[in-house]
Amino acid sequence: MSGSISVKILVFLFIALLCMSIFAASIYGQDIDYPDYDGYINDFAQILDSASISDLDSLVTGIEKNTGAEIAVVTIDSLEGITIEEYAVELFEKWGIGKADEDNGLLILVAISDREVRIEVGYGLEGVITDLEAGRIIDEIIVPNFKNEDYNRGIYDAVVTISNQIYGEEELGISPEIREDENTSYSSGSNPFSKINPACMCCAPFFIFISLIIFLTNLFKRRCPKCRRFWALSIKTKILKAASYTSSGNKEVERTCKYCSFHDKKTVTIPRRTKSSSSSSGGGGWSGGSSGGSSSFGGGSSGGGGSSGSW
Amino acid sequence: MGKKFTIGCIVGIVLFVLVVGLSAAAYIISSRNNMATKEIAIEGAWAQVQNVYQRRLDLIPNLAESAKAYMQLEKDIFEAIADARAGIDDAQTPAELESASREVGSFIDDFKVIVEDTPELKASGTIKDLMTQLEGTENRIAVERSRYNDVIIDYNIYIKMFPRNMLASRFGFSEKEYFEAQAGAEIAPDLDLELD
Repeated sequence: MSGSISVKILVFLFIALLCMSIFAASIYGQDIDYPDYDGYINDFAQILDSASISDLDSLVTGIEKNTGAEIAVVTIDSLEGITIEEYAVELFEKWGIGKADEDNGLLILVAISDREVRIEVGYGLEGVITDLEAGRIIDEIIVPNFKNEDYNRGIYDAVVTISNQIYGEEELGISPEIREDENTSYSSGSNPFSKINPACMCCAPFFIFISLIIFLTNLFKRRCPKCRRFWALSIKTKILKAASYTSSGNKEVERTCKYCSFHDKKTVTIPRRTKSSSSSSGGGGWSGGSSGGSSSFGGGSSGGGGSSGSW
Repeated sequence: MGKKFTIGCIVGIVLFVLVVGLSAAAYIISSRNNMATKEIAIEGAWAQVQNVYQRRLDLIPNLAESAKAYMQLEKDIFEAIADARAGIDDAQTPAELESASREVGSFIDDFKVIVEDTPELKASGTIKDLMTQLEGTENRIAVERSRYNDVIIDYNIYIKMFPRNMLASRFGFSEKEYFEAQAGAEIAPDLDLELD
């Protein structure tokens, strides 16, 4: 009986530690529900017609193929009370527009009911599309067209101008400047552990606890209840009825002690199967789509470069 | 009475001690490494904050030049830029950074007020461009400040969690300062820039 108490204490201890590491890892959710993307052109406010969406999509896909730069066009209805600058930078970060190592993404964000527009430029394109150029594109191309409610033309012309800039830069052989990334300092450290992804480092104690718990449950599961030796039982299971998604099953468990005469047999129910939900986030509901399946963003980031305007 | 310790029992105790010891060691090592990793992330974010503050300084000569006719510019502002440049480089905490760039910030605020009040300035193309650039830099500052705060929150929570708080103080990781929500930033300190 002292054995069962110590098991309980042990289990309690590990569960407590586990909870703590999970608690520390859980970081607050965001107040605003930023949408998930589906391809490069996301017309959530439904102001673009389907012809110009497909034109834009092929234009942007071409830019991505030739230069690697990723351009996202997003129309939303409302900014939900924050500034367009904040919205743009958060959305950019959530979607990861641009390649992760080059940060060569660009976001054109239109908020219809707020009548505001922003071009948010990734770190790597700041030299190609400067704030001034972004400002001019907004003032001279987007705003005049938007004032006439010609959203299709305003956005299309803006994307064309931007793509000319990006192509022009490529032809001159100037590759987009790469931001001095703070991550590089991880790998330059002398500590070999620092090369491991910090996310993995966080999980390390977690995995250790899990394997420990598995080990311990096994240890006590295989202890003979009669002669109290560890690793004494050989356990044979026979599935009588397999569990399905709709009904539970049962199995027969037969335990025999290697050292003494202990032997028993019992029937155990197997719980109904549940569909495993993968916990991947970020990608959202992006589906392969019709455009060849390459239109997912590469994890780039922006630092508030670009320009905003209203009409 | 006379209940003897069986071999299984002893092995169990030894295993238990070993397992607890090993997991404690693993926990300490990974906590220590995580703290170091998070501190490096903070350094990176800090460098980025300094970088955008410096970037703002580069605009000042242009601002000064184009508003010269409308502002009584003393050479103070150029001294202020030089001081700010050094101060931003040396700054270790948000408070230091803010005090280093205070004068420059108030110059920019004054500049904005003058542009708002002067129609011929407002209409000029150069000023428009300058304002766009200014908005860009200020927005970059806002972004990098909030990213800095994000990594600080992450770090501060991490080192304050029990039982890690005991490890943190033992290894010399202490709580770090945030950028405050611009308290006092709206009250620009006097710089004696007068309208003509």
